[in-house]
Amino acid sequence: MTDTTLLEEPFLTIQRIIAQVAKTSPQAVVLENPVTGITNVDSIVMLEIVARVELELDIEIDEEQLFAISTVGDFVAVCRDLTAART
Amino acid sequence: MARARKLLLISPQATFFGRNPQHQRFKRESREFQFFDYTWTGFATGLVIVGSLTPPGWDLHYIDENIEPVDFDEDADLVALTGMTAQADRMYEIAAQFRARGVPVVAGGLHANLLPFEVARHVDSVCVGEAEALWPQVIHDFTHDGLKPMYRQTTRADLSVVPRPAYELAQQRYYPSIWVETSRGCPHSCRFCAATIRYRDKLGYKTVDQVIREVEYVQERWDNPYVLFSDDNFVVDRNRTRELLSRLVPLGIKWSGQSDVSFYKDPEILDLMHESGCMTMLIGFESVSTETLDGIDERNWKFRNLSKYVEAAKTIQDHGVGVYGAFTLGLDTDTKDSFEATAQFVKENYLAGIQVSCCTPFPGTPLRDDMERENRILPDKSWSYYTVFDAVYQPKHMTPEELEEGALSVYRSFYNREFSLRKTRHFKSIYRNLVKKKVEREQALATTGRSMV
Repeated sequence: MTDTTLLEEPFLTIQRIIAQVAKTSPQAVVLENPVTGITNVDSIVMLEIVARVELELDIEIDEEQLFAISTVGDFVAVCRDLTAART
Repeated sequence: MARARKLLLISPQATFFGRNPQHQRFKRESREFQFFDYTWTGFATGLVIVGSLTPPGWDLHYIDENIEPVDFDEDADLVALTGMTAQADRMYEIAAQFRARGVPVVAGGLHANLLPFEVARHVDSVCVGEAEALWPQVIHDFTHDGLKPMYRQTTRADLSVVPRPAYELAQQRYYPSIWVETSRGCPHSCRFCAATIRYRDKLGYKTVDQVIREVEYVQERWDNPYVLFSDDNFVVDRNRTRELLSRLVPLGIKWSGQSDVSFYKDPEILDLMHESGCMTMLIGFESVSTETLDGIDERNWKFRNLSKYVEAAKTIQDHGVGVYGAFTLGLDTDTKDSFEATAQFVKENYLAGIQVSCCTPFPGTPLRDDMERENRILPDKSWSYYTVFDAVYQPKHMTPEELEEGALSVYRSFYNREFSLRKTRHFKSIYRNLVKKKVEREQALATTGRSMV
């Protein structure tokens, strides 16, 4: 993933939502973070994050895809593919 | 200057799942189960309470043997041990090592409360009752060379005036969750429950201010702590629960608690739970069988509420609070069919998690009395098997091995990839609805400056 990823959607949306739900700073959310390793994020919190991201980006992430996500970078990649497919 | 006295506070090692090989293998292999096990791991609350009651001038060292080994050569003037029944065998080994060096050992905790005279044979002094009511006297007597062999509580501790537990003692250890106690005791006297019978016959509460101060103290010491409220039953006093939850909202923690199902009819409490960061509630369903629940507690409360279990689980989870169902299998009305019935219930209702234990006749319980009278206690199962996941008595309608295997079969059918995918789909749809409502509220507030009702 390129450095520009950090300045683009859907990363910015995902970063904002994770920070908001997990009550942490956006700067703490980086691509390398394991999704359940971000402070205050466990699998149930993650579902709230996923639900918010799905609504904001108007996408639906399949459970199989969700299970394959292990880092924030993976999450961004899945969302980017889904938003691209939608347009 | 006088040398500070040193007190070692030790929680002995134990197996926190079945000792039998099948359980251990499942624990190693199931990622889904490992997450549950990890979340519910915290420190020994009794020891941090003892720490808070020890006067200044003592050097305190908290040791959790599940995390670090005990150094039997460490300087110590006094050793305090705690433990549940599964830890008792190891507690005696540790006591023997320190006593051989001439270091006096005091024991408290659940097992010491259940079998004080047995424990007394292995230690110098036993505390029977709540630490708040006993420890100051123990320390006083020790410093005046008058340690007594047994201390028994005569008056109930007033939790509204107890000092804050010395959380800082456990701060340097790695715990995924931090236990905070807001009340002690439970209104249900279940036949197999040792804790409520021995610890406290009447509920006691900390004030809401006290609890908030404790949570804030924990937040100062751990980054975004996951709080586990250790109360046997978190929602007994509804007014107090509402006030406490409202005060927790601005703190922004994530937390779990334990209770019965009764709060499901209180939408205000359900909303406040979600808003205050409640992720899951561990709920003692115990059984899905009418016959098994009949007579399980003194007031037959759980039997009368069985018909509401499905509605309760759905209502609670629809409010964004996952239900961890706790079930006890192997009671006398249970048959081999009980395992499938339990598995069916937990899956049909998409519970967030489960804890399925083998019924365990702890010393001091009415259940134990029955088992002893009927000569059904397995003599080869030492205390270390009282994990609640190992069968330690002869069940009526199956072998002990079938009980262990049956309980594990419920875990296997629940904690696996296929069901986790279905469960995730279910919870995702719940969260989508909740998030939609939240976003609508936020938008209404942003545009009108007024919150939607």
